[in-house]
Amino acid sequence: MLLLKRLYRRMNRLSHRLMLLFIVVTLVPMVSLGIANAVATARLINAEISSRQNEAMQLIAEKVEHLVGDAELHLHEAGLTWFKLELSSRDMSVFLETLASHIPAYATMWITDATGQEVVRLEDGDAVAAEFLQNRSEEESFFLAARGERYFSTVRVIDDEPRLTIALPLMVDGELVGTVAGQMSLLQSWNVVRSAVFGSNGYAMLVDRRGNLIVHRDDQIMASRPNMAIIPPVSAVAAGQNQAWTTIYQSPIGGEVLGSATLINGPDWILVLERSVSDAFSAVWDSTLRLGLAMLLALAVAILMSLFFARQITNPIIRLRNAANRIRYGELSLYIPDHNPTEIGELAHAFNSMTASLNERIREVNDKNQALMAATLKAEEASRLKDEFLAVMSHELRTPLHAIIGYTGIVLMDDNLDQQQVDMLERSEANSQRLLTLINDLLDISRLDAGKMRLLPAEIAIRRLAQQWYDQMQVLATDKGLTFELQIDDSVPELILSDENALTKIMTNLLSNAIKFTAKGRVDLSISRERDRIKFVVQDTGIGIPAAMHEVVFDRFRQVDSSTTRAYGGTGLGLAIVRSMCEAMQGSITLNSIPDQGSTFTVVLPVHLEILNNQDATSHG
Amino acid sequence: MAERTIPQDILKGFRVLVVDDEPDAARVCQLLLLRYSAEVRVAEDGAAGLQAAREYQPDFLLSDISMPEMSGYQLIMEMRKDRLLASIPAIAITAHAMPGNREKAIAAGFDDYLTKPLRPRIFIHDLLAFLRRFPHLAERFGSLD
Repeated sequence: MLLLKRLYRRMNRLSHRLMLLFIVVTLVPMVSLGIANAVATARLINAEISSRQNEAMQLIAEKVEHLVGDAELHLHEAGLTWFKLELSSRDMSVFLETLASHIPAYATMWITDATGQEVVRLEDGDAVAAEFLQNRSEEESFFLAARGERYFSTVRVIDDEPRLTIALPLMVDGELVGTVAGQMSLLQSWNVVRSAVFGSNGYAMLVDRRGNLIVHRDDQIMASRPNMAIIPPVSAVAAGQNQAWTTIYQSPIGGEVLGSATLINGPDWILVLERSVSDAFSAVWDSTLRLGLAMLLALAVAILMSLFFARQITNPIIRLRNAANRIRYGELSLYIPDHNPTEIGELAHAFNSMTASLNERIREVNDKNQALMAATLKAEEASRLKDEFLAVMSHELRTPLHAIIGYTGIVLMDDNLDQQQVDMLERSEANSQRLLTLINDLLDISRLDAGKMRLLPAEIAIRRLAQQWYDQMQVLATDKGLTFELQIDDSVPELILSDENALTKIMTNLLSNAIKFTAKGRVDLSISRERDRIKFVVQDTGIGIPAAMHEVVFDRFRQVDSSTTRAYGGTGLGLAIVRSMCEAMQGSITLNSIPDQGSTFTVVLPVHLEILNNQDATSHG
Repeated sequence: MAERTIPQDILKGFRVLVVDDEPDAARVCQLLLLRYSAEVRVAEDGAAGLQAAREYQPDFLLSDISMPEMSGYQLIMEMRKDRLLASIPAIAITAHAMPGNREKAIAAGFDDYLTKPLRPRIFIHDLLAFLRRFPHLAERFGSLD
């Protein structure tokens, strides 16, 4: 069972598994029925064979018993008649002669009186003269008969004739009057035994109670004097189980045989019938062989049929699998025949529906992809056009501005101008500068919006850079009479990783704003470290920003009120750009301010200190 | 202010080639340089500029980038191929202010890059600082230097 299970598991073809199942399902009942049938048949045949052999044996036994019994009866009658009729010697001899001719079995016969003295004796049919009569009182035959028992001698061969001496008591009115005995010829009985034929090689024999072979048709076997006492039927019968006995055993004379034995009453012979097993059971073998052949044939048919049926079931599945593979490799227009009325057909139909909806989906996706691609191309084209437009606009605005600023600047270098002219030219220059700032701010905003602000973080010596900012702004602060101080905390590392241009833009923007909106007092730039970030604080004592405006100042084109635009200049884009840049750098900007007291802008930026510190550590190590 | 300390004759004897298709731009440069006593030759595009450079052998070159016929890039590349012109210091002066323009100009062979508009007072400062990078020019500065 386990083996079958393992075999089943190892089969990776449905058709093979089905075949195995089919064979098991067909063969198991068939084989068990066949075996049961064979066993039953064999038993029946065995019983039949035994019974027939038994019958044959009984028949032979009866014949022999009959022959011996008849002879015994005749002997007894002759003896009794002798005493009852009290015949004269002459009459007697006539009687005996008549008797002898009637019972030819007895070549020799004698009658004794109650003392054992012969009263008459016949030898070869002739009466013996009175002076030759013997006294038999010492003989076993007389001894037993006188006691009222029947006497049977062992078989003796006299004149080439097997003879059995029988002695019987003669009773008249319950009183022993004498005995009668005769030597019975066994030729006739022997013939019965010798000529018994059954099966193709069955034979009969007689043995005595001690197992000595008495008669067998084969003289050679007779001459070898085998002892048959050991064979089971003989020993059983000899032990007194006086019944038909049939069994299989190893016979000393016939190999493996089916043998039977029964007792022949009177002479107490045991009749044995033996027949070789192969002969006895050839019918059983034949039927078993036929059954085996039939089963082999059935197996072959079962295999063929299971193959056929398994194919019937698996072929559509295999076709489906192949179709599924073809669909997998893109043959989406494949139609699978689905007229099979079973679940296979339903499966094929489901496959077809699936491919159809798959096709539909793919078409939809393709359509969407194309639309998307077109939209993307359009958007890219629009973006490219915008970039191009901005570049051209920038270039085209700068070119005339260059001329204006250039000419103005050169005229301003003239030492012969009066103060009013200088003022006007300087205002012209300042306005040109404002226009330039606006152009730059618009470009920055546009780039920030498109996410195209390219940040190139690099190692920055932050103290040197801060000093540059300071130097640049110091001039403006001094011009307005403000105190401007730079303070860098010791915790700030020498190198940070950031985009220098963006950082500079943020800080100069905040610092110029602080200076711009502070009339008196001070502006401070302090830089410190806050864990892995750097904090830049720009603090002023300027006009400040009302709380309500703290968010608004970071909006585009917004200043605290529109009048400041005129009073302080500026585009209103500065803080919007600063905040966008801080965000682009993954940092933040916050504002603290009290009107008329001042403002504090705090920028916190990640500057990847850990990378630099690790490099430091390794380079120092 | 700082520019007042720059002597008028600081560029005396310097021969400068200015290449710009925009007459006003060229004129502004020319006026500024003349103010500091330099000799100035103006060419209105790259091809003319290349020819002028060969004839004139300037001490340094100020060139626009976007020009008809031959751009500033082509001009500087041609010059850098010419043994006689290869070492002339050159500054690109352009209204192209997009990121990447500077790198492109330097890669083409310019020594520096300035974005229009230029404020003359700052420009002359930057120009002198640039020329100081070339000792053979710096030693020819007039007056104080």
